[in-house]
Amino acid sequence: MSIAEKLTTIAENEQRVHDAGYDSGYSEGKQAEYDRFWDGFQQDGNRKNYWYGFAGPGWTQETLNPKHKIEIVDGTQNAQYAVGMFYRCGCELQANQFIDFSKIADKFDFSKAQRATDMFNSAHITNVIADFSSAVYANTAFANTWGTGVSSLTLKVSELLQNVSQMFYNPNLTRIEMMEGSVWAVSVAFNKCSKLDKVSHISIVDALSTTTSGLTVTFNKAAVNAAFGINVDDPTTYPEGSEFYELRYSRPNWTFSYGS
Amino acid sequence: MKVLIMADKGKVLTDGENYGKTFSLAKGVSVDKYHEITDEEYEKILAEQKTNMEG
Repeated sequence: MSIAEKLTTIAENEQRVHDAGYDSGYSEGKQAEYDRFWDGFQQDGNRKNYWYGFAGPGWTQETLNPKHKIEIVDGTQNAQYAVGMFYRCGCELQANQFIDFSKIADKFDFSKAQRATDMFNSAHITNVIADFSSAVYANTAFANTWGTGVSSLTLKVSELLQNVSQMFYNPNLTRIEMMEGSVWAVSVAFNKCSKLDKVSHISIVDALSTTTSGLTVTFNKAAVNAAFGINVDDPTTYPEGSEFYELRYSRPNWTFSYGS
Repeated sequence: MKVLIMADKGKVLTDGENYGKTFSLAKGVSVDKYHEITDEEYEKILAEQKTNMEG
């Protein structure tokens, strides 16, 4: 190798060392910035109260990424730590842009939260996974009053739930899947969910309590008709033995309502 | 007996808590529990609910 070639090689190596150092430093700087923000926001992981904690604009897939796992535990009326937690979260995003909650779901545990009112109301979030095993109050949790809203949901509920008449006031929802062990023991309305598919209807009905009485589940009439290829007003379109007939009368203790 | 009740055109059925155009009643539930309101009355109820949701 000539002197000239050696000098060129040295210069190239210097550039590589510089680039590696820059990348490493940049990466460390970004990590330090991330740690500083979230350690402050989450009080080094000790923060308990996330009442409207991630509400409003400014949150994106990149920024909604807590460092410390958030486990909501509230037991008293004044401890409404999950209420409104994601209210209008990401509301400045485009209509077809959503924060994919499934990518960060392992950082949240709602299973001990008793109050989840307004939790995802009008949030620009999809693929929500919400274990509401302990929830008593969750009305408007997935409502959509601002033209945006949760579009896909995996949910667990229990007999503890009260008054959920507006929990699903949301035309954006296309899929609701109930987690294993879910039980609906309160009248519940999906009449605003005009895009719900067949899987969702089956999953919801399968979770209706078999032991309660006097309760009503309300679906969107157009969604039911489209999902099952029937006309709910005309029983001849779903005779005994048909998929919808068997589904509906698997819960003879429930009144089924079809609205809009 | 399987009972299906439907609202007249321009009307909505309700038991005071649940609303719909068509009800497939649970076993043992009486139709007397239900009455009709107009679409306009129903829309007004929905608007009030929406206002309450927005706080």
